Amino acid sequence: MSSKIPKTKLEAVRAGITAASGKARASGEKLIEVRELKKYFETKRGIFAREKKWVHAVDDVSFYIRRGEVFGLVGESGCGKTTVGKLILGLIRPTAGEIYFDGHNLTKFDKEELRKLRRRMGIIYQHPQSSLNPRMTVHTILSRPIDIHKIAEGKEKEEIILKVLGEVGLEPQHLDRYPHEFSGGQQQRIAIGRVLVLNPDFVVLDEPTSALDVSVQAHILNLLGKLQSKFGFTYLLISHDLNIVEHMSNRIAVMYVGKMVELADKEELRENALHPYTQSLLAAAPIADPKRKRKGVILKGEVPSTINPPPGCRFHPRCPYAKPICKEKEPEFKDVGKGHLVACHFVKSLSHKWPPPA
Amino acid sequence: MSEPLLKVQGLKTYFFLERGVVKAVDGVDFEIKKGEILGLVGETGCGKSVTALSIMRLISSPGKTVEGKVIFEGEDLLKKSGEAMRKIRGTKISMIFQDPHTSLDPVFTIGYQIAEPIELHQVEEQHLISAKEVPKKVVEMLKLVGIPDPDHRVVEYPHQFSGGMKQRAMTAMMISCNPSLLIADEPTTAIDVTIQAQILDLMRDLRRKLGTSILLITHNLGVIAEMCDRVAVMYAGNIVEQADITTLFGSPKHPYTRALLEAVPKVGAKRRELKTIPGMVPSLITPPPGCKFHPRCPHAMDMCREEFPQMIEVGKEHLVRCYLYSGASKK
Repeated sequence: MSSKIPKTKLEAVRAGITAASGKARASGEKLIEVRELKKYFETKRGIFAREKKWVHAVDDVSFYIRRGEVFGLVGESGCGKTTVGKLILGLIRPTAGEIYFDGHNLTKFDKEELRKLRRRMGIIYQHPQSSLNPRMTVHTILSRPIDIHKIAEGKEKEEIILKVLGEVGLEPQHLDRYPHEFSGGQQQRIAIGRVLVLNPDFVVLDEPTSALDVSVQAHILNLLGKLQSKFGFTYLLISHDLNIVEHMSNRIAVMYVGKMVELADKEELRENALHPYTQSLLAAAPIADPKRKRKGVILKGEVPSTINPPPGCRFHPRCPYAKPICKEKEPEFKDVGKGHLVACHFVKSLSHKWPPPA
Repeated sequence: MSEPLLKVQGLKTYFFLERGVVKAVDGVDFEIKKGEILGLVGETGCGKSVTALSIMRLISSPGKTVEGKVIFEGEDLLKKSGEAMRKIRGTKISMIFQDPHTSLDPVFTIGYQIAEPIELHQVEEQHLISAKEVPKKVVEMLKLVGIPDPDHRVVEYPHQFSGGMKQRAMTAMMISCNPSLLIADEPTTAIDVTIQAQILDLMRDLRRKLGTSILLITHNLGVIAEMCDRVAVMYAGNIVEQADITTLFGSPKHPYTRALLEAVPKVGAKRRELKTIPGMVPSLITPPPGCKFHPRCPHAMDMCREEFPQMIEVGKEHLVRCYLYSGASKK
């Protein structure tokens, strides 16, 4: 009931957050919505710079993430997936476009308002050793967010810390140790704990296991999955590893050179990938099963530069189906049914099956 | 059966540190036949890279190869003089490293760096080609590894190359003297998947065209499944299982191999708990007695805690270091 004194501060925090959002978690409605988001970075700064150039890191991307969903974002290095994550958290400001978090337009928020809202968000980075302060003990690392957001103090704070420590699979005696005393997997657990103390709604997982060995990776993925079903978190999972994204996500979006090229439910994407880039990405991922040899065709060429992206469809220089129109006109990112979006001129007319006919 | 190209026997490489002796490679045996791709798989710190460096004799203080034989083309590399070894490196055995960004020198052009081993080995030592032919050969090599527009790219510097192109350039350098053995240490770990597929394809091509044997070191089981003829699984300084590729993935025997295969998320599988291995990789200074995997093994028996298990043949060229199968060899 609505008793005014919750048993623990952690419950209070959770109650407060859900009350603040005014909606129950995991209800399936949009938590994050991104509209026509653009982020250009300026290159060539300094006194010798003759002309300004722009890196089109994220170029007109629109999507939404449902509450309680795991939204996977895949693509190769430099495609802009990490930039999308940072933009949603308000860590960098967009060049254009709008970002809605639970109905609030983040692009209109000032620094202070963003800082307050960030209590409901978290991020886990690829390298735990560089995202944890080497001079802080685990206790300090875990209490900092609680102090900054003034969530609890004294005994209540300790309770939260101990509870979180248990959730991420660490022991109370670890509290006085420093990050370097832990293995990579344990460091990632500390980083997860640092996010968990705030009990956020939304967590960005930026390549959370890329720096870890397979057996440790399995531990961390299981932990992230467990926490998600227990607390109803919404995840944006950023990874270059299709196997991991497939394993964790409900819906998956594929990015290529700053653009989203395909977005669909996991099963739909696996069975019925329509964009030639998605198909080649699926075909290129090595499978840990010698009986299922990869199909012979390999995508030619390299990922183009984001400074001068190719005109028209950005995939056209590498696309086996490219026609003259692909060089001139940018394809629309449109729904082909069942929430499956594809940006390709020939999505309906070509029977896209990888490998393409020779 | 013809004599294998490389035969590693009882190789032990230790690092002598103040806090103790790290037994990084502690008795490793394997063979590579001519034209074969052998995969060496294992997690961080299991000794796979140290094994490769020991074969190349590139271990420096405080590390030392204390025991074993590395028989290459009938001769023990560990008994060779430094000068003789230098002639073998780059001509008969060459090595590709994980990070192409750090293996190329940023102040020299790509062409200069590829020309160096050719000049040294093929011009000065073997007199196979004249100095004038070197630039032509460099361009040829770049063309072979699929670098577009090699005539122009040859005078560019490493920073003008992308990651995949640098790895291609490295490969060009390494195969320029037609080595009979190529050691590739995590050649695609720093590279994107579509480019990874290109590099792996290039390596397969080399094997087909030049008959090069490859020792492929990686932690990526997918890459292993796709590339190799045989696999050796390493754990804490030892090979725990060795088999041909279909057998290893189809009926893995060692509990560690089985756990490793089950820990990988697979495309198409339902989201379920991934199988995990409890505990952590043991210290290599004071490894557990008996089988080094026993503290994490669900099948550990008393025997496993006491005595280090020997390799047992459980099938044709399928070797396992585990007491669970000690009955099998008698049959």
